[in-house]
Amino acid sequence: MLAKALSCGRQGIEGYTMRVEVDVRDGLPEVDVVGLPDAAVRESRERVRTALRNSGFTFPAAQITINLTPAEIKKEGPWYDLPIALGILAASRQAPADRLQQLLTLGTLSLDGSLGPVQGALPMLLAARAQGVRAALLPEQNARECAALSGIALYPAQTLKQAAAFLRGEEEIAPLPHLRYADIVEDVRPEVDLSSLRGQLAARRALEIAASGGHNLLLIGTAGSGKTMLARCLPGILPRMTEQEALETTVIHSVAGDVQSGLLTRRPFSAPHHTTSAVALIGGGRAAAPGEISKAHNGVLFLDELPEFPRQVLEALRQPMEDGVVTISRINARCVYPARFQLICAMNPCPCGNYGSRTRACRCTPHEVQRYLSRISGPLLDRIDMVVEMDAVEPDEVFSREAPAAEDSASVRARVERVRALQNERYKNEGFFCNARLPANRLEAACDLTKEARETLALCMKRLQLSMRGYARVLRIARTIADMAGEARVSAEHIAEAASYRGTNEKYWK
Amino acid sequence: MTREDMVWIWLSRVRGLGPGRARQLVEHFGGEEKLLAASEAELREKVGGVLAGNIWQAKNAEEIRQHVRGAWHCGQKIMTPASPEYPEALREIYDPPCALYYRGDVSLLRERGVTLIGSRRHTQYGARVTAQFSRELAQAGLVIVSGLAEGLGAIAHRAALDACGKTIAVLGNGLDVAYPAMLRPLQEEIAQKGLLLSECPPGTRAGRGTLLPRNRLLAALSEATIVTEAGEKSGTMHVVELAADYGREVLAVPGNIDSPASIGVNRLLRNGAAFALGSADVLEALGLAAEEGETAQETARASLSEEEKLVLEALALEPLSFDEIAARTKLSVSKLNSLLTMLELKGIIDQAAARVYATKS
Repeated sequence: MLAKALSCGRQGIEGYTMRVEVDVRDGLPEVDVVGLPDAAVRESRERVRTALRNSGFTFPAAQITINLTPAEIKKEGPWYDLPIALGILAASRQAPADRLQQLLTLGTLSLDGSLGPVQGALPMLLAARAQGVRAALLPEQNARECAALSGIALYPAQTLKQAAAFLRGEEEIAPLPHLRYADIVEDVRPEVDLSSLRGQLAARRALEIAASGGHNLLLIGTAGSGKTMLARCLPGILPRMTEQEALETTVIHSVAGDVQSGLLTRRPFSAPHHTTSAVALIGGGRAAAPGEISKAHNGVLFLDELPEFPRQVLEALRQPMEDGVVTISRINARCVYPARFQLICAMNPCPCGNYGSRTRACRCTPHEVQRYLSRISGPLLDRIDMVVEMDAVEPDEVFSREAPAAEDSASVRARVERVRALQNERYKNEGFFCNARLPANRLEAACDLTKEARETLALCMKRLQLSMRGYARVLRIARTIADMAGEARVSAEHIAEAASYRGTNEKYWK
Repeated sequence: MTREDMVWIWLSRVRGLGPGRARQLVEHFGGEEKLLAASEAELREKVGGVLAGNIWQAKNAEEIRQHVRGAWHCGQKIMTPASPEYPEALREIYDPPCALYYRGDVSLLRERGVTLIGSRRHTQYGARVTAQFSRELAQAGLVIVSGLAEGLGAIAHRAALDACGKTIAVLGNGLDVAYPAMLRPLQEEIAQKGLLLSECPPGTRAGRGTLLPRNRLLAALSEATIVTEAGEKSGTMHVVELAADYGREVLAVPGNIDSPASIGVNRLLRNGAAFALGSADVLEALGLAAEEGETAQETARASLSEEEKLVLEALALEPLSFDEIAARTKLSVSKLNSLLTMLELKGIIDQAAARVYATKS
């Protein structure tokens, strides 16, 4: 008899629905899997055979043909175990076949018949929902990441036996209660709160500007000046993720197999070590897996010790930073992963780390400093809007009782959200959404400089020897600063402050 | 190129014959012409067999002409003690160079100049002070002489050029060689707008044997030597010793007593060097009066807003970090950010270190 089970697969983050067809007929006992299965799919014969027996079912001693259709797509991964097992049950009349055609099933099996989790369940279910599937049976471990999906009934199962009983109608499984996104996003606490950062008033202000306008940020400072700490505060003051953003990000993490706690509601913070390879950063490998930049999608990519990164790794960042997506082509896979992240980098000012410090003497020659700085290419620097210098805070400053309590992330975030809303309104229908993405030809119109602002800008260009790129960057930051002040026109004061984040850059890289 | 010049170039190319000995030789024979006429036996009598042999061997008019042509092809000209443009200041010393290769405006050698030197490794204070002295002295019309070394030397040249002033770089390598390579653009700019000078023929690489003799030119060429920053052991101190030997003025800019980069200058001051607390001190030492009247600084200060004055008041005593200024002035961070940039743009304050601000004197 022939049975068809509904299931789904994916390539990268693109899911698709497919069918597992099982045919059981008299003949020499053998099992054939066709439809471009990879090794993991072919191995599922052995897992299914043992799991069926250990769950108290009989594995038919007959000629079994399993076809994965559409046949032209290469099938990867072990999550066809459950549909294959249920298909065999249905084809050998141990379970009803009709229900299996409507109910999407996926899950891996262990030999004792228990169900195991699937990598990338969320993108697969998203695709299934889009194609009109209304019910799915999935391993309990994947339930949390998918719970925010509405419009599709999700039945979590623990064992093959339970799944079969559900199919037969012998046992009811309660569908997952749908979680409303607004409820779970409410009580998101930042990983590191700004209130734990002492002093560094200028750097805090810079971080808020960067968050408000989506500007990439480079922190230059001596060892122990709090660069890493500051960077870790950034996700906490960015606006809360929208449901769409949360889904996009969770999908990528789901494919990478590191979703444990359900839908990601905190903006991701990805901090690859400087020994990371280009492939690990950008994505790739045999299966074209997402890299760190995609895991930082809608969040923050933090590169600490920037000059220590191999040049070729940093160069690989340029295209994704422009496009917001990265396309990875391999012999047997071609995937497009979103990678829209805010870049924040940190570095020492020189090899010994003390150049420019007030308290410690630098013992590097100018040549050594130059060589260290020149490890970062101009094109990458061009994509970094703001440069902020930090110096270590004196211990007595940290513990001083007079120091006012620092503001916490939540109140800063409230301001940032307001400024972002302003930009969303202004750039509606323009294809970008924040000041950092403001293209050069729209700059003048969007900034609307006052007369004094024009004069100050001209003075800046002359005194700070700004390049044309530097000029555009100052304008973008000034626009953000004006937005933060709630002003429609950019004034001289805004330009002057914006120039302070650019001036230092020109000082290091002439 | 006169015959006298040719004699000096000939002597400059003899192995084992230093500039001091060469001058003695010319004086002994009573002039370049007489030396040219001397026989090998007469030479041997004066300087001994080996050196006389070397001198005799190098006496080849065609080879010397070719050398001059070679230098000319590199864009370099040669002057010798027999040339009218040869600086008088160098004739005063015991061992004036037999041949000086140069590119650029040779008339700068006739003008009054000061040597501005400091160590390669420097603090931001050193950089700031060096640039300030160089700028102000260049604007006062003096020629800034330095060694085109990385660090403070390069800063001195740069500041002089930026102030549209005149500058001479004395190199310890061939003028077609850039050492360090990253200063090549600056070297080229000095060749265009100032003067490059070297005792080394084209193609010579810098080394101990060329950099040390170079120091005597730095010391001798100008009327006064100013040291802005120097550590305990430094080539800078060598120049200072020579300058004192030649009877030139030596001025030093004091630094913090606990700063390793200023140990050398502070010791100079203890040993009797003159204090250079500003360019006026240097001008005074040279017998020039500092220009009176309101400077651009003062004009700029007169038109400040109340808030800007508040910031300057806070900075009056010592450089402060951003956080410290914020704490003292009670201004908001955004306001302070733009105020500091504006003051920087107006040239009233300067960043002494990362986010540490100081008033310019």
